[in-house]
Amino acid sequence: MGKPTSSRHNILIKQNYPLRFLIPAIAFLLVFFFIPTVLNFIYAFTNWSAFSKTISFNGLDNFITLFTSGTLLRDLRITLLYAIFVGIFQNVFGLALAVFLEKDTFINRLSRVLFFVPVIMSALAVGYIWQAILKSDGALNQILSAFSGHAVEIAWLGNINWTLLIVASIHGWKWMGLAMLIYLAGLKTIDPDVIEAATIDGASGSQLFWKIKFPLLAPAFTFNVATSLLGSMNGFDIVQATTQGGPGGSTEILNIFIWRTFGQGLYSQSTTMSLVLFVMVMVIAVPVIYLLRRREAKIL
Amino acid sequence: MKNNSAMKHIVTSTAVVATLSMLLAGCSNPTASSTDVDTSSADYWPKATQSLEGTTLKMWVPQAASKIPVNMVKEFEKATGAKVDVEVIPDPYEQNVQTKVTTGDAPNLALWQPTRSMLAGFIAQDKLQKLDNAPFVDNYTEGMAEAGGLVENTRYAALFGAPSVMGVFYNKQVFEKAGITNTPKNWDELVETAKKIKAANIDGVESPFFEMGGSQWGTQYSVQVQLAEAAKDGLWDRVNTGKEKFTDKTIMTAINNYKALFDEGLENKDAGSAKNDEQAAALWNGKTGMMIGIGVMFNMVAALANNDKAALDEKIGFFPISSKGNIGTIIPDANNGVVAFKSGDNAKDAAARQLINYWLSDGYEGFVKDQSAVSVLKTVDSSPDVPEALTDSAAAIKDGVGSMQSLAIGNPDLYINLADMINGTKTPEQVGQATQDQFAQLAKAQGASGF
Repeated sequence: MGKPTSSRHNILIKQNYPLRFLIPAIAFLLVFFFIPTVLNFIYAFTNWSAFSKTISFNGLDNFITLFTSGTLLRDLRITLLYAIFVGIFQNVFGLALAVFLEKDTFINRLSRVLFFVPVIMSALAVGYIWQAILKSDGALNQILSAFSGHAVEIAWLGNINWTLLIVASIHGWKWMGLAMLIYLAGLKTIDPDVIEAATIDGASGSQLFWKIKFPLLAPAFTFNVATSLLGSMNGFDIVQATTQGGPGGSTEILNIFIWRTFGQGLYSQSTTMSLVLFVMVMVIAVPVIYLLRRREAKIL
Repeated sequence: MKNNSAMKHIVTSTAVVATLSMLLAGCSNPTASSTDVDTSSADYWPKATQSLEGTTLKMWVPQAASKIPVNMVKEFEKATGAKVDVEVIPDPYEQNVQTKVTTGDAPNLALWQPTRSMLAGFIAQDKLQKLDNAPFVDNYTEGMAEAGGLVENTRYAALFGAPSVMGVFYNKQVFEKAGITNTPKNWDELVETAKKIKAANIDGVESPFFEMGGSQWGTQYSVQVQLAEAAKDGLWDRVNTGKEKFTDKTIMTAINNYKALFDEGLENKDAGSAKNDEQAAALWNGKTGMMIGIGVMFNMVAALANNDKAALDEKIGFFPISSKGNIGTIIPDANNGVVAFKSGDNAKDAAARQLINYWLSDGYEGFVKDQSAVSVLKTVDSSPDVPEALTDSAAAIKDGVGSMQSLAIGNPDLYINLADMINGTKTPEQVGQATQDQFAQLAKAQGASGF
């Protein structure tokens, strides 16, 4: 029984894993992902709506209407800001948690479970809970009032300048448990010898973290940044539950606008917007992931 | 390698097939249905209590109105042997129902806002049964037959409850403390009244008006009430044909007048973020003197009063208001109207019509009693438990005029744009423009001329 040659190996693979095994997966991918995406491209160039029995092509009409009204561009900008904020919050929270809870003590294990709970909670439930906490007569203001001795009435969800930041931090809070888990997994893979060597060489705590651990977390960092950025660009539920896009449209991320337009019966317009969102996600995802991968390659 | 290219091949060819079939199928809207009927034929409206043994109907209701038809439906089941499944569709009801219907899922009956703009989509796709020549229409009280459900002289929805009238709900005690004895007779007097309340500096009263910019939807009423005279004069016909715009003088004046309420400090400080439950509480607790709105908003106040008629009558009143007078602006909603969908099954369709007929004939007295409601039929008296504010509101229907939702062909998000204005992210001009832009899109999608 010699080692199988490379070609023999390939034949074996083919015998054991024939192409037809892929059919169920491909079928699902086709029906639930590929065809809708293709349709999304096609319907964007039609006049599909709740108000007509026929659908016909209307060229760039939808794009022209959307780009001439300011809402699409405003919402694209808000979506981008939202994604950046979520990316920052989710990663800062997640990394901090991972570092603090790195040792496998009982308390740490318990805390990890607790911090992971929001991840498995319904995003809408999370949104409604925070909405109740943050409204002007909500729990937070009541606590602040009790401590400060006078009535605090900060409209946390009613400020056109920084409510977006608060909603993004709720999003980050909900998903920080996942980021924590991935960073933890990354920390666990760091060879203790490297840490020991650095300690012997006299590295301080912060040096140890920034010069050794953080760079070695590069794959976890790539994954977390990419998923948080891209996930939040497709966000909807948390914003809908907390502010519904208000106040004054200042937290109206694109998906809220898409959903609103769809509800009006303007299906092709909302399709056009999702196409625009798709393009934006691609334009951002490709370079971000490319750069982060290159960084990984340099470090590891 | 080979696997990879084989897969690529599959994917590419499927893409081509999918694209081609799309293009070929590209001429008919998959969500539309068709066929026509004669609503005047003798058997189009089955007798209310005719046996329906073995028939199952599905009815959709919004969360807020989920209890409304329940007992009526039980009585109908008892009388006919039919089975009616009442399904609650989560909020936002209108969007969710429209989405479901668009994707091919429709009930036999649904509570639905019986207005032109909200019926337009279903009508265009031929989803709704026609409800013309209904036996109950002659029994409607004055103005009720025209108050909702009619589009181009065809009835697509039946009113079973008195539609809301936009107007002012006010706290009588606040008015009394401010020394106001007569309710205002036009918009200018309304503003004067508000100023009087503010000047009176009454203990506990924080603002003459209270707006719910955080919930957004209540913002439109202050603007719409000011359009009543113009609406009687054909404003919405002109808007529907592109001859007049939201950016023109009539509607802009109303928007600017609304903005002035905030500029002059007549609205609550947190108007931009306050929610509708806070608004109801403010009116009930006398934190504010007035809210401009509709029956649903009063119902929230009534809930705070445990629906105690005596307490409500003592505290809360209603008067209609318009630019130059006291014309009510009528806005039916999903608590007032019911539509019947075409199912493709004639027997079921007839059963759905029979339920509507039962509701508005044999079943109506029980319904009005059960719901403590205002009756829309001459043949049945309103419940004695209806608070005065709602009786007064229903009385305004007779001389009222339709709202934007009732008379315009599209229902743009005016309320969101106004909420933006309250929060300072849109100027009145931008509100007009954004609303007009969206209206034009809706009108164009319907193929209206002038867009």
